[in-house]
Amino acid sequence: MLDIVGEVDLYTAPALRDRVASLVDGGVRKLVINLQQVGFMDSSGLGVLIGALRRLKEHDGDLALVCPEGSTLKVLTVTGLDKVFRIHTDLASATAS
Amino acid sequence: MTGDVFVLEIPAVPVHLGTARTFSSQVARHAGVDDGVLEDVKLAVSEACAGSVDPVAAVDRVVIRSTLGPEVVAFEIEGSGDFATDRSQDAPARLDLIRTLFPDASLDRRDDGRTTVRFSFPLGG
Repeated sequence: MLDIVGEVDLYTAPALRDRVASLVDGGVRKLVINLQQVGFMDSSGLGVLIGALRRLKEHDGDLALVCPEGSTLKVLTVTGLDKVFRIHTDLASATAS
Repeated sequence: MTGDVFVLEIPAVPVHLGTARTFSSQVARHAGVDDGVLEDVKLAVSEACAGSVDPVAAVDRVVIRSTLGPEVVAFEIEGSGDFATDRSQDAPARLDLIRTLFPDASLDRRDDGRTTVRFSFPLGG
């Protein structure tokens, strides 16, 4: 589980990308990223999520997002990425999947 | 277009993107737009600014200019970003995302390298 809090943009996305990379490099194959406390996400953040999914798939892993509502879910939807990611409305369903 | 004009100039570095979002959302709120459009404005301005900043050093300025007319709100974001190549690995193209939110969005490039992103939306629309 990776909880993200705050805003994800060109400034903050590199730190998130590094964190995801360290988890995958450390052997994590099934990752849940909790976006419930993300107040803003732009295409830089989306790029990190797409990269995380790609890296995990390369290792036969999987990625799930927790994103029940709000601007983050909207940006996932308008870009069509809601069809790419498994998006859950709560932590329980994400961790159980 | 006539109306009240609001201008913010920031160093062209990523750390100031949050300031641009705060500015744009406050201007949009002042214009009376609803929360859904306000979030779209924040995202579009942030994307336009991100496409206009130097990720390494503040070698330039980004200017965000908003004009509140009686029926239309217009934003212009001027910088020197290269929208053709400035995208994070795997990320959707910034200008495409802005156009998804505001179909009239445009990008102009001048001979001196300056770029301007423009978009607008009707009040109450």
